[in-house]
Amino acid sequence: MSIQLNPLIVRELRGGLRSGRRVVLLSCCLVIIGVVFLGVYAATSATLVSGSSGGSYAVGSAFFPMVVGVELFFVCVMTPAQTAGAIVNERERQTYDVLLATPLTPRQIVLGKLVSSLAYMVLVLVAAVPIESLAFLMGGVDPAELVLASLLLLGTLLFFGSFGLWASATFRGSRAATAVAYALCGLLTIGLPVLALFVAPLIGSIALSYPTLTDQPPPWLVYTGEMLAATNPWLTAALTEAQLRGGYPLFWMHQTLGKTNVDLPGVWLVFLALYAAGSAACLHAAAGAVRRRRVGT
Amino acid sequence: MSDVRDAVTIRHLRHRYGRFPAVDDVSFDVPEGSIFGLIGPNGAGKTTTLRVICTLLVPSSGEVEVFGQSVLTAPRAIRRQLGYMPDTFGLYGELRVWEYLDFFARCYGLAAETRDAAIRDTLDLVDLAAKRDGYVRGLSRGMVQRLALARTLLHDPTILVLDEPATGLDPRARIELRQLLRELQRLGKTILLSSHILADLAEICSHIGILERGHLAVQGSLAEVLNQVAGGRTVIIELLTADTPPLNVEERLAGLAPELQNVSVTREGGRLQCRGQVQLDDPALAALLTRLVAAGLPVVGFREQSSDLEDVFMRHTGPLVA
Repeated sequence: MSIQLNPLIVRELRGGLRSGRRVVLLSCCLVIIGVVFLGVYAATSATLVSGSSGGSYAVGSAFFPMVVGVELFFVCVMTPAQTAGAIVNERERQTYDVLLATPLTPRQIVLGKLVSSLAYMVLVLVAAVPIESLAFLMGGVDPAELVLASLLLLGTLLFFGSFGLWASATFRGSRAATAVAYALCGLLTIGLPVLALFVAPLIGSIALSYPTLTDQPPPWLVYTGEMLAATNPWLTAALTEAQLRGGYPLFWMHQTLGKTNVDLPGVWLVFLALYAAGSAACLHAAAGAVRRRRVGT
Repeated sequence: MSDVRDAVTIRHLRHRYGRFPAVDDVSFDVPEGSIFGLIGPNGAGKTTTLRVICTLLVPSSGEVEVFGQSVLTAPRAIRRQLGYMPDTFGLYGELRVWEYLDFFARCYGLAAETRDAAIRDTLDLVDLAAKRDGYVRGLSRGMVQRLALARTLLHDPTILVLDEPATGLDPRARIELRQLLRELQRLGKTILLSSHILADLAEICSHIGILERGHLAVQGSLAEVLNQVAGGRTVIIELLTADTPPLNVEERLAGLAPELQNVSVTREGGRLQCRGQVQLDDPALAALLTRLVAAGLPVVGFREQSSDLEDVFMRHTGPLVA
């Protein structure tokens, strides 16, 4: 028995990726990453001239987080646009009824749309690998760093993509779906850190009034703090980078805060768990929204 | 008792959009192998009825069955038996014609080894084989309509549900569509279609149903409906007897065909055109023709007046502005 690829993925690979606009966009992304590399190279070239291997390590270790940061930016900015239109566009171009009249299940429709929408973003990330690999040629980058960076990028891609797809299946217009998808992306990447900037001094002043909170913070408060940090991909990336560079264990860290001793999972683990659970919930809800548009499954 | 089973059975179908009743207590049957025309003004509930049959809408109440299977309990099985063409074609313009059909062939689960043949056969059937590698966005309106029809045929469905298939087509494309639908009926398909173009329906439909504001005003075979509603079918018999006085023809017809009522005879060039009303079904009408020819009448034309459907439609549908 032959395994059939999801028809929606085949269609997207045939039609969607043929668009000239996408080729231009992909080229722009690669140019930006290339410019970042040249910028880092120029900034650290003085150390290279000395001829020491530490100089090339410095370029590699400076370039890699930069390129991951740029890729994360692309993921945050481009993913909602890719998926928020995936289903609602079918409605707007009046092809949705024809699609729903086929025996495809809502789950097949949602997964097909997700994979086909994210395929382009994966292409952007894969296309950047040759430039990324320059960091390895220069040294200063741990393979674990590459694995964790890839997991972080894929986790962000999956969750933002799934949320965009839920918005696409739920809202009637592409504008509303795109706005809602970007709202969540903005809340998690910008909104919560900005909110933290305002709330942190307030919490600090409260903590001063209750010395026990600083002397012996309750474990739930520590776990909650880590979970909040793990909702933000940028903060997760920064904390994980610090964890790696500091030589801390990858999976579990023993932390002593005042008189409180806690074993904390790596923030990237919490991030992946949260984003995976969020993605599953969004995809389930999206399939439910598709199911409600017709009879049965 | 008829041996023909019903492809679609609808009983007491109701559907409301909010407080607006789109379809209200509609019941009818679509016999297997028939071409059933659903007629009605805008907003009469035609599309809603078709969408319920295609499992795209959960009815507020009532039963809809396709070959005995309920749309509520066996929607997936029903989707495999139906080919649905909505009133808006909605195409993927960025795909080539064969890619478009390949996508839907995959959606219906056609195996890789049969897909190519299915695509080739349907493109041949709708006369689009020459456009196989062209982009969908480059097709004319008529070609787009034929491509949409090809899509509905890909998985070899037993029933075709076509919502306003002739809308926007030029006269030539409409004639081609009629020929194609007749060919599909000959291939054993049951066709349920809605249309505003009554002349088209009168020519191809074996059965009709007239919807008016969510209610089914009348339904049945075309002959039954015309008999029941219009007080009979208007038949035009053309005779090549220019030298025969009209009075003599009327007498002869009265003797040979007493079922022909209200006969009027006019001279049209070298022919006599006899117009009369009958309350006969198709076999009886054929028997009448045989009798006239056997009696030696030089019949050169025998047809039903197609505009009768318009009379029925006007009689059963109110004005848009009351």
